[in-house]
Amino acid sequence: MIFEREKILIEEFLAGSELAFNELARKYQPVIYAHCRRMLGNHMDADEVTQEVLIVLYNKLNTFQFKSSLSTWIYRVTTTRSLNFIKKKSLRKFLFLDDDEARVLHSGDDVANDYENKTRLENLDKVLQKIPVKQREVFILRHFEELTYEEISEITGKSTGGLKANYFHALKKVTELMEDEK
Amino acid sequence: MKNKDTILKYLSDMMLPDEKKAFEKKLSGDHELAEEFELLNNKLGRIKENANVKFDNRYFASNLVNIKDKAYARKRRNTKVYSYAFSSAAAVIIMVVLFFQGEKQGDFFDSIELGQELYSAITNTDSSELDYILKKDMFSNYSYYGDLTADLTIDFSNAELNGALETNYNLPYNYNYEILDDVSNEKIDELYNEILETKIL
Repeated sequence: MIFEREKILIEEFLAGSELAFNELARKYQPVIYAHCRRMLGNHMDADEVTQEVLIVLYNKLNTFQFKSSLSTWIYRVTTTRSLNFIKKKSLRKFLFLDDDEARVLHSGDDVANDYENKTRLENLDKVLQKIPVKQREVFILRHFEELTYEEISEITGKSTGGLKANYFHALKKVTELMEDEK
Repeated sequence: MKNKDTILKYLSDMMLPDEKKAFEKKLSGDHELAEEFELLNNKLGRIKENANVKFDNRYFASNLVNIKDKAYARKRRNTKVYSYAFSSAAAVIIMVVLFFQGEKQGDFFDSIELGQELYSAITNTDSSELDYILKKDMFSNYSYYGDLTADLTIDFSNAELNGALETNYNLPYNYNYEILDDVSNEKIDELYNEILETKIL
């Protein structure tokens, strides 16, 4: 039923309906942002990649072939873009071109509208940023999005065996970090 | 926590079916294991709770407008870039085609023009005109003339043509036609080839 509705919206958007795109964007924007935020660990980066993903969605939706669900396709784009962003950022850092302080200062422009939510986000960012990227990727998709290994495999293109191993190590690391926090 | 790895293995779905069954059986009977299991699950539950954040919807609403602006701008920019690239490529291709076409046509029409001039001079038995044409072309652009003779399949070693030229036009001996009369066939070939090679392609 949900997929049918999405299919109709995609077809309407491709036929020129902006309203159809708005509906799709309204549904997926928070999902995309949450995934980016968990992967990247701060608002500014997450905001940048979220916009990028939605622009891709707007410009490339005509290439979506309904072979997988739209959410899988969106997760795939979001994951790839986030990983690319992390790589670029590491490179910029290496070349002393990245201004992390400015990003921390601007992280006040957040999407959390109250103190409690803001604190939660900050705590989550702290923990997740300490996990290696590959493990983080699986942990987010499995633990927060509750996707199956098969779905994650479709998104990341990795074997389920490898994903399980990564998830195991991520769980180990997260529980250790939470012990340290105490 | 001595069972941590086993519990995490179970939670990661890394156990074989038999192993999994045995673990679940042990979990229901082993108090210590059950306690550890609950503790780890609580920890993981806490982090999941932290992820359950309510976002400000105003941010997403305003973001959508920005995204559309950027998407339009990118599309326009892409269209512009593509149209510029296409126009430039088309212009270059047309110029190249016209250049070669023009060059070929120029040669072709020049050959025809000179050939017609020459042919009409021969048939009209107008020696002065023929003399003028041959002299003009032989001295001013002999490589071109060589090319022309090749086009018209005129062979200088052809004794018949030499004879015809001498008889019909009563050409003075001191002109360049001495090549035709006095030089050996081998020398003529050599000169002819030299002329052909001198042509700038």
